[in-house]
Amino acid sequence: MVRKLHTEGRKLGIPVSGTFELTSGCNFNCKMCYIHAHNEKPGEKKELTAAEWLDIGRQAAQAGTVFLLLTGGEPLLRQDFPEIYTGLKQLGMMISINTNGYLLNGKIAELLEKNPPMRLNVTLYADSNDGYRKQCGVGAFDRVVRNIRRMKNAGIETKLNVTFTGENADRCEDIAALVRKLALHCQSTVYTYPPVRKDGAGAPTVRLSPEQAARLRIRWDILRSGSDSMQSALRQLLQMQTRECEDIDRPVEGVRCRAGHTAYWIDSQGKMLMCGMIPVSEGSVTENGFSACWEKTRAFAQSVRMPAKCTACRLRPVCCVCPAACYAETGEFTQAPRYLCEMSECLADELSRLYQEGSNVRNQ
Amino acid sequence: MYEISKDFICRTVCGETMLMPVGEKTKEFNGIFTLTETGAIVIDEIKKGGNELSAAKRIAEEFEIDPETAKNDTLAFIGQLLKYGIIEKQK
Repeated sequence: MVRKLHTEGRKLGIPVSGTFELTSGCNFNCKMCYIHAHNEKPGEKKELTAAEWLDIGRQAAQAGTVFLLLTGGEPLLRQDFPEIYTGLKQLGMMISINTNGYLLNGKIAELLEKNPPMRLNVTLYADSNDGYRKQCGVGAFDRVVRNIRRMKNAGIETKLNVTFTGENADRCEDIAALVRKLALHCQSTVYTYPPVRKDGAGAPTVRLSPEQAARLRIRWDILRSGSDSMQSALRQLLQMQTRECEDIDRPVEGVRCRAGHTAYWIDSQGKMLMCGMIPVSEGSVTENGFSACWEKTRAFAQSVRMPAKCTACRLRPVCCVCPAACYAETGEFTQAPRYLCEMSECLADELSRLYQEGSNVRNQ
Repeated sequence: MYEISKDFICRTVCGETMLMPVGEKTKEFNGIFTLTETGAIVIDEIKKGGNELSAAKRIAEEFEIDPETAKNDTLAFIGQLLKYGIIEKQK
């Protein structure tokens, strides 16, 4: 149903999915965060009130939004989170929540147990209190894992998100073991975007080098998928070998994902973006109304073109390039991001090596 | 006469008519009920203050099926809606 609604929504220009970034504030200080500034003081930015979010929610539901992600910063940090959450659910929205899990206790936990979201996405930063202190500035591991278990035991659909950086890459075996123990679906990323929304800051100093990221991605696949990772390696190698690379000299490829086609992002101050990673706004929803901002966001997304080099690249089946990555890395949509080119080269080499090693074992 | 329960909201998005649980009902059903075209007619009739007979009549006319089959199918569907607490009898 999710796919069907997005397919139809794309044809009709309906904003089926949205993200409400309720706050840029956070109780953690992660070095790789693209929203929360370390020196940001609470209340420094004028953020939307609960009444404003609920008004935007009503307009969004009217325009066709069915799936809504509440994120931050840390959305549970808002004192009025229960009011916003229950109000949006009452509109018939299917709500997911992104959280670091620290505040999933007390009254918030009781609320979610009584009135559960469609899904809870909890970011897992490390496998120990020390690891959390290093990555997030808070030794929160025990508390977060206790809270995750509580949510899981309450029957709430809970997913783990893991972001690897230079601070936790060496713990990937232990993190994989923890994920297995928790027995929850897990999504990981080894690529961190330069935090361009934070005053145009450069790449986070903790991010992995392209080579480290490629090797870790494969290591993680093996840890999580075991022998299936061989099949996946073979599939990706075949996709690269059989890819027909056209000789393209100008950007022709548009946005392939849902951003600006059926999805939008509203930041904590009410500005609509096509994607949370792209700091280009087509206006304030509180000033111009939801529908007017959505139409402008759609038009903007339709004007975006990917680099010709990426469209023609044989490494595309293993590359995670997207308009947001191009923009964040180079400041332009039509420039190929060197970091991802290097990462993809390395991934292709590593996949070949992995497949070769597997073949040698089979032939012995 | 029936009405849609306060635990559900009926929405039509991208041509799909859906029933979404709200509030604490999501503890029981945390998903979307999508309706077929005939299901959507039954819900539409209920929203307009109609009943099983008016819904069956519309279904028989719009889908060119015999009135008896339309009536039996409509009654069965309404029974399911009542069972799951999606609609309730008007007080």
